[in-house]
Amino acid sequence: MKQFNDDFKSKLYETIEDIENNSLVEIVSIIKAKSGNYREISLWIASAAMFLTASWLMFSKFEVGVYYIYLLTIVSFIIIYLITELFKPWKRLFINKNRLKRNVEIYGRAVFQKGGIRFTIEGIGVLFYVSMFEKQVFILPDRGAETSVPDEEWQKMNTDFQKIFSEKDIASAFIKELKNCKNIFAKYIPPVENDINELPDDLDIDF
Amino acid sequence: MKNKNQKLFIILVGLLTLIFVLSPFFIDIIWARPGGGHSFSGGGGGSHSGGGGGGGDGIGFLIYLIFSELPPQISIPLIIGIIVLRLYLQKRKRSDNTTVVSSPGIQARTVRHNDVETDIIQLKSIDPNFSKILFLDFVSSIFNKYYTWNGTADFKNLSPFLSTDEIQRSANLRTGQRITEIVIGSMRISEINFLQDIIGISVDIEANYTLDIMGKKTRYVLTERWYFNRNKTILSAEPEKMHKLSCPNCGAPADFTDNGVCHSCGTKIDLGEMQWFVKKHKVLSQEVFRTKGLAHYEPESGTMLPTIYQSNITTYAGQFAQMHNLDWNSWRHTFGEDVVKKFFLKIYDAWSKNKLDSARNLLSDRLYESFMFWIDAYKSVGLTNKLENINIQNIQFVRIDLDRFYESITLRIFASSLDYVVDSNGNVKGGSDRRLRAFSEYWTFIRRMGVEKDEYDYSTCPNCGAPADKMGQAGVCEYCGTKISNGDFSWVLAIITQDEVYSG
Ligand SMILES: [Zn+2]
Ligand SMILES: [Zn+2]
Repeated sequence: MKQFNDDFKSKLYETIEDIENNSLVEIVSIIKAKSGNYREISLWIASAAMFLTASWLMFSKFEVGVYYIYLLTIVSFIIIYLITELFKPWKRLFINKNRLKRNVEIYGRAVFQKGGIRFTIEGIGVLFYVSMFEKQVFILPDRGAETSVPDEEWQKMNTDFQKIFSEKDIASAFIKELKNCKNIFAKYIPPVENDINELPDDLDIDF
Repeated sequence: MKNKNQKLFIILVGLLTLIFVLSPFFIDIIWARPGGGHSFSGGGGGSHSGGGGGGGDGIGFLIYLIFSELPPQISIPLIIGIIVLRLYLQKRKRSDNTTVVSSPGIQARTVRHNDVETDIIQLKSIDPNFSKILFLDFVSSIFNKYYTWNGTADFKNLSPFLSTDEIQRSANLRTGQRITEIVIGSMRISEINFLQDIIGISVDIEANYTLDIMGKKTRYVLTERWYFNRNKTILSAEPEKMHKLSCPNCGAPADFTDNGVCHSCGTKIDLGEMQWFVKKHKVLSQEVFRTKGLAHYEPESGTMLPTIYQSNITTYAGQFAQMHNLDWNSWRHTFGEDVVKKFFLKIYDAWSKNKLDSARNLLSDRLYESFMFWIDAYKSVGLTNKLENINIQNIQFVRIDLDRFYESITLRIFASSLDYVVDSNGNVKGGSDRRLRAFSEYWTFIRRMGVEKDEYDYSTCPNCGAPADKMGQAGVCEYCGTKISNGDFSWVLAIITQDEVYSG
């Protein structure tokens, strides 16, 4: 999350400002470290490690003292638990893809609801929700925006935004993709003269 | 001894792996397809349990290993452990996915449906010309034209049928947007209101259409609720003015000024004075249609449900028999054999070939369009839904409706068949080409009042007898030029409803 510093924030603000000047659309972007804590995964893996250690000590051809069996079993549990909690790619490996996706969707929809993005009169709010642990960008347009832009464009946007996670600098990649959306929104949701911004500039959402 | 220990170690590790594979976080929750592709059309639908299932063989083998290789003091607790784990997983699978929503169940739906039925009877007592079939025909024309003409100059032709609010709202379509390929899947009267001077009917419409935005197309599936009003004192228009959008005064095809003046007869048509008009409409749900789920089969869920009969069907059967001067019991037998069964086989045979031409004379326009929509969807991804070895087990007469212009008969048909989806190379992509699937559907046949013809050679036109292979989308015989698909000459199949959604 270090990449998302103040410099990023001002760039993000400018980018969104630029899009909204050229389109009626109202964009909100939220970046979260994770959309769930998946703690039981670490417990599962640690239990498995404990089980393997115990079995190995029990049946190995070496003579192992009873105290060692007791100690090593517990230590293996703790170590593997902590490693899993700390080392994210390793932990992610054990979580079902659909579950990751689902959690991001649930969290994203909650943000949409709680952040009041649905309150624009014409339903032209669009949420870009980035969840870092899950490596997902969830784009959630309100109904007016959704039906104004062809599905094909939304699909493409989804694929493009998903690619930011293969970049080294995710924050810049995100800004870059957002800039690419400008033309799409300008084309399909053209600006209306003499209009106000209907959503607050800074949303802070906590659950 | 060392050998024995290694085996035990392998077994334990195997067990651990199995626990892992079967454990909750590897088993994905099954998400039902939203909107349920098949339920929209009434075509297809099928079995195939969604996911899970595997692992059973692994457990059997493991238990065998444990028994044969391990001493009882180890093997027995292990096996108990495995059994408990399995029970837990099974229970979890069943109970964790339960959701109770505030939508009416089948019972509540039937009650609501009966209320509407009572209201229709009341409406007929005020307006003996009212025909549900014709009214829904009119609704479908309005729906169709509303979207087809939206954003075009032709939209003014709807001026006698739309409230001012609706006319203003229609301007919402942005420039460069057009709606095409409108298909109505189902229509249901959801409410009838009798007010002082006005009658209001609300209709739920399941449909889909293509939204074309600057050349880029998106197909949407939607449910909408349309609310129609009319003065209480007038009679419904005759069929010719209901089948097609036309001037309620002179009957000429709809061609009006912005103010609702007919170009043919010069009459100004005031809202609700001679015909129904749209008071308002609302989108209840809208989703993008995706062909992704076409080969996906959901388990049949309604086959075991009890049949829903009209409350006084015997009275109507008696009326029907008297009108046609026939013996109901022998007639229903021949109707089942010579009409229903032959329709069923011919229509599903055509469906299995992705080509409906040979059954066009048997289908109403809406059903034909709905079928064609699904066939085109299958074709677009190179798939065909095959129904083979069809066997009809039972036909139940559940409903008879008689009005001034139409008679309609609804039956529940129990059948079984092979039901599967193949790609262009003949590979099975969904369903099973070996295991028969039992299912039931409610079929509604309609026929113009006064027509006696039941059975005829179904490969011909029921009016002139010429081959019926080129009737096309309009359902008009190429040889005699008459429209067949309204049921003016013999029965046509108008509606197919899946058993799990049928409410009466
Ligand atoms: Zn006229
Ligand atoms: Zn003919």
